[in-house]
Amino acid sequence: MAIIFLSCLTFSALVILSLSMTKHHQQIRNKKLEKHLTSPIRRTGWILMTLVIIMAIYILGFGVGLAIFFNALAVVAFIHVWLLSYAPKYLVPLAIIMPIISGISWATN
Amino acid sequence: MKGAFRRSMGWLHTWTGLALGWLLFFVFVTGTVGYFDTEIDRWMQPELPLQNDKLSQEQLLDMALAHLEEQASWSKEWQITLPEDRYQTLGIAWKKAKPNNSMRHGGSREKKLINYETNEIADPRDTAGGQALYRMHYRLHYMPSIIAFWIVGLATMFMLLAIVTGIIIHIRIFKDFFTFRPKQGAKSWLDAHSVVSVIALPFHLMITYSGLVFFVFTFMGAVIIANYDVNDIKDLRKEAFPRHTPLDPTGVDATMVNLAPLLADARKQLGNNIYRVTIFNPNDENAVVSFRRPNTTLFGRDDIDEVQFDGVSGSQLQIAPLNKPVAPQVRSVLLGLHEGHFAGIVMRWFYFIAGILGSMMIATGMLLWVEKRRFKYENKQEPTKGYLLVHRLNAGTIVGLPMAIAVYFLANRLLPIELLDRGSWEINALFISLGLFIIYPFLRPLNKFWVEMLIGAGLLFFAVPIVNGLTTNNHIIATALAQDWTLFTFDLLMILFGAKFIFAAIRVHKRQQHPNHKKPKHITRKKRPARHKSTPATGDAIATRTPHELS
Repeated sequence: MAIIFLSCLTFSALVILSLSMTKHHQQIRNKKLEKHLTSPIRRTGWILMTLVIIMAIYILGFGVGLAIFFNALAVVAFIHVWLLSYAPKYLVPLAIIMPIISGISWATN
Repeated sequence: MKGAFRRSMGWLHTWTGLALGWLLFFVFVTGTVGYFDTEIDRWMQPELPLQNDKLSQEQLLDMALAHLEEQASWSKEWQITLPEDRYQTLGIAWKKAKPNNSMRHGGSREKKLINYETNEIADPRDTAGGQALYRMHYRLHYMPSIIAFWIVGLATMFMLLAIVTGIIIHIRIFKDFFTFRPKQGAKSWLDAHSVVSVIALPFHLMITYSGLVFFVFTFMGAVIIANYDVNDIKDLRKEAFPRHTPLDPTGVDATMVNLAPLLADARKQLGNNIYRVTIFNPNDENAVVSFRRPNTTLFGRDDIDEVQFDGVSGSQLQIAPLNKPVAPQVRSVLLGLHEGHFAGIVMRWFYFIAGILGSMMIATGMLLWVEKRRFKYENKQEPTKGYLLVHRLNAGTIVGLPMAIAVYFLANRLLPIELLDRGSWEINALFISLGLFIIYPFLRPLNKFWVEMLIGAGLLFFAVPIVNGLTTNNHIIATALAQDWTLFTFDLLMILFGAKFIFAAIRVHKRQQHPNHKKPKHITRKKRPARHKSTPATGDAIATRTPHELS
């Protein structure tokens, strides 16, 4: 379950990072990205991504944690880029809901 | 200078990729399927009982011990495989009386499966199983393994070259995490190729490099010959892979302790997923019982996933750590990564998907090669033989190989049970059909074979769960009701793949009917005349489709 939670967080980090790019921001929110927001959004994305790596290493150990992170990154990035092209409006809701659900189910298990 | 360098790397990338692309596709697809080898094994032996939790591990252990006692009380080593997340079978194995000198593991063991519902030795159909698919990805078939290793090794070198040159010609690694522009012809294919390559880049690099490391003993034979006695590679193996040598039997009979409490104790230490119990010197004073779970770590894999007990007194034994030299340790880390030894079920799915991404990387690359040249031939000249060859081989392998795998599954259900050498006939069915599917595009006009093959693939995949339901009791509803999610997922996946192929066929067909409903924004667009049906190139419409339809 920890792996699913970490993957969902990675997904959220990717969504945040894509929100920091003009073209994809437009795709997702149908609004122009305000310039002064670019850098804070991007920073948040990278901080979240770093946190996921640290958590993965902490929970799963150095070797397995990193291996799992990169593999999960590939899978969620694929889902992300697919949604970005074909169903961008679901990205933000999913990025918020999925980590919460998977986090709760991990914590209660 | 810099531009020239990247251009030359681009050339290298294109041609190394093309040269062995089809073989690499075969290796990637069969290897990807191999991540679920044991699951497929069980699907291919429907005589085995469905998963059930009615019996506890202790009861299963007792059952297996009774059978071992009956079949091989004289043996020096017993092994029991308990049903666990992945391995839903109860297996027993014992060391044969005369160990042959083969270095392969398992070679000197006799194996049997137990039907735990009837408490009898199971007699499932002879099948090559998921293991054969998995083995194909490195030792191919119909040839001595040493030749296969070299061929696959060469392809792997090409792959590594293609990946490294790909990274060099491609600077926008980060942006490609987000960029896919559908319905834009060659541009979409380039996007698709870059996306699947970049997002799983660590996986691609790891899988390719560690694939080479696997056969270090073959590829670096000269180093071995220079340092070790040629005739006795055993020295090297002993040095590189130190193993605990089990105690010799004393020859004095002793009554073994009841193993159930030991199993409970082991479970406390290792968790619920103990899957292997090994008993050295059963019924002897020196009896040792070992419990193992699947590896949970990449480093130092021998110590923490096993507990051992004295088989007579029941006291726990300390396992002395093995002193492995650094090089074999590095190798075992890479091999562990390649095979996903440590992967639980979620992680195994991730590996499977990453494998599909790798296969897609190769497939999109091959299709991109065709797509890039398409406009040239559409406008100016008759397509060259090379172009047509690649185009047709693409259909033959990219759609033909999944079709052949579906045929392999169907053969498992349809070949007569009593057929001699049935397992190898399943494999023959795979390769014969693959051969036919590769030839097929050469017999059909350019604008026909993609759609026909995609429909064929869809139908074949739909046929798998149907034939399964008709010939066995393990149809998809039965497995769902029994909550045997492994077998259920197998059938479900077949249906999903089938649907995906049919969907792709419909999209390609539509695009062929209305080739201009969305003009690709391509650099050569201005010069491009309107397409009409009679041009051979309309058959290339597949090349403008998204990669998802081919996945």
